[in-house]
Amino acid sequence: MDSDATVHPGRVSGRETQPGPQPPPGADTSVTALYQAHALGLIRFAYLLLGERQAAEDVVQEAFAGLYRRWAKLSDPGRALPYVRSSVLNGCRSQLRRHGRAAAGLPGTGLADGALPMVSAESAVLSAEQRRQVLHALQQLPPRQREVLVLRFYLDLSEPEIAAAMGIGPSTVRSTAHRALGAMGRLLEEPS
Amino acid sequence: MSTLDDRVRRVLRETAEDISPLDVPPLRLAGRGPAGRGWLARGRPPGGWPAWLAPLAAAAAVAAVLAATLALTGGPGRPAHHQTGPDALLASAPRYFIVLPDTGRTRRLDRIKQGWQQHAEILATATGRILARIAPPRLGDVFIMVAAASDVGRYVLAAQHTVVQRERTVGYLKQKVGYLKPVGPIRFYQLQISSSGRVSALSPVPVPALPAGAELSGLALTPDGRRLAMASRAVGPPGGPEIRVDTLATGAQRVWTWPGAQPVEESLGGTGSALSWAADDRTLAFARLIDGRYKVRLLDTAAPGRSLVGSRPALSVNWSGRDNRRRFSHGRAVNNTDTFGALLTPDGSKIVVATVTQSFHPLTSEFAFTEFSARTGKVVAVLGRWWFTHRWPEQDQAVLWTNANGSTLLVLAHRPGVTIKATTPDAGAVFPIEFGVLHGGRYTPLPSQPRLGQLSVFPAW
Repeated sequence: MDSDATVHPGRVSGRETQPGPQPPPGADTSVTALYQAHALGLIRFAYLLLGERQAAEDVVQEAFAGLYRRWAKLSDPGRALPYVRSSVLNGCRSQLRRHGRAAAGLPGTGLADGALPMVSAESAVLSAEQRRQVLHALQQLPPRQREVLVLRFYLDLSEPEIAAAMGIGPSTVRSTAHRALGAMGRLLEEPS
Repeated sequence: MSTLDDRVRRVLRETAEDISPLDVPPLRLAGRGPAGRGWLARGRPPGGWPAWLAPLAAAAAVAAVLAATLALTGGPGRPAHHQTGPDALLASAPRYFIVLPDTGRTRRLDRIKQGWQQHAEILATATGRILARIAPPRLGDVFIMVAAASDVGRYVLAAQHTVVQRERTVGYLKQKVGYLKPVGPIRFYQLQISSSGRVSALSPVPVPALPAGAELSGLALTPDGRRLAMASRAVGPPGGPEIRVDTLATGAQRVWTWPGAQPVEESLGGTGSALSWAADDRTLAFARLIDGRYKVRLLDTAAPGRSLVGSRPALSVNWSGRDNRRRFSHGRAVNNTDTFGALLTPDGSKIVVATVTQSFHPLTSEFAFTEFSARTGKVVAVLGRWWFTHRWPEQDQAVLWTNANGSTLLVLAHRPGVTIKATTPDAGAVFPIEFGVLHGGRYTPLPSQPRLGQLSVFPAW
């Protein structure tokens, strides 16, 4: 596929923390510009997955640091954003795994009750109760289904872009989203 | 956009606004190389994550979803299949199949402007040889679904005109990208493959197009290729599924609707077909996903009436999601069951479904191809099964073709016998999937494996 949907950073962040070639001149400027343009959205994205502001910031910082270290190896600078987006996703997975919230096979992994993003008083478009219900339903989903929904409905990514970020096929994205919405519909007791 | 989509989107966006632009810290690139880990070390782990204790209780083992009357061909702990080289199994499958290797859901605009055009491909099942590449009939059209009557070598392709949407510039190279969105009516075309493998030219199917705005979710030819069924979502309120059957030789047409009901669709997110015919040319199976249950009904297309409500429920498999209760399924207690697609066997006796079951304690998943009685909805056989000690990684499996009585299947499956590599506990396991022929305990991969990453519609045999 000719889209920018073929970037798959390593899943294990440890590999990216090893010494690498010195970034080329100008990498600072490029990475900083990318950060300024996309950091807010990516931190919010990580926050939706992790439920914790500081951890979300750390994951995004780590992703951009990894991009900076690997800048010289990036064959196509146009792929920088998909790369860093995928890194953020993997960083969130690592965070969840590292702290034992995604122990294999346990339901409700990822966003635990205590980690749900707080309902802000400023955003009163939906009632706090409605938000709590939706967030609670999201929390019940398997991590991958939750990731697909956040990538689709928050970052507004296309199927190929979601596939690239998650390292799965577009058809799997579609079926996962389909199942996720079905599960959400059931959990919220409405047809999907 | 559905209400649920809208609701999820709004909640996510409102919740994300808990992080204000003023909260974004400056980028710290001081740690070039390994020193960069410094700030990571200060990152405190997100606190307050309560340990979740799964209240699994043996007493919760409740009603059997799938009957215990299984014809097991293998047992837990070992693959039930034995991969073999090309052999007679391949010869028992249809000789040719049609595939859309690229549906063009996203293309770089420069490629589009250079004249990119989608092609359907006709391949030989036993050798993988490409017999023909078929271009859409008009520039700008894209094939969106295929159906096959392999016994008589007739294939039907649905095509729709496309336009570029969301054109934008991305990246430092300022590349222009966009997405091809099908618009306008859906038209149908056919081609014929002779027994010697000669492929005819594409020609219009003499049936009316589906109107603009309709969403095609199923397409199936009768085994004799005489009748074409299509499932769509009706345009305008109250919506609901619509099934249309056209007799190709006479132009006769019948339509069934179910206003306001859930659409006809398979559980693979639109990659397979939600329709399948029995060889009697009158019994049509259609599938829907309703409230976590995968339901298949049988429509007698020769009976009077115009409502799908009169169709007969044949199968209802519960997908319990991340359910804490246990059920007895496939000979073991499991927490949930999922299904992928469903095909009615041509003799009308069975509905063949790819299934996966998961048990959380101990953590195991099992794939299988399960045959349900079309009369009772009970399990009558399991053609293949294997298990592994990971969560189901949510990779699709599917049954794409069945012989008359369901004893031989063409499937999309995990490659039997291949070690599954766990990547992350939360993401499940990664494993190769491929197309192959399954007969009893024997499995033979197809020599030509379409690249799944580019597929959004499964091949049709």
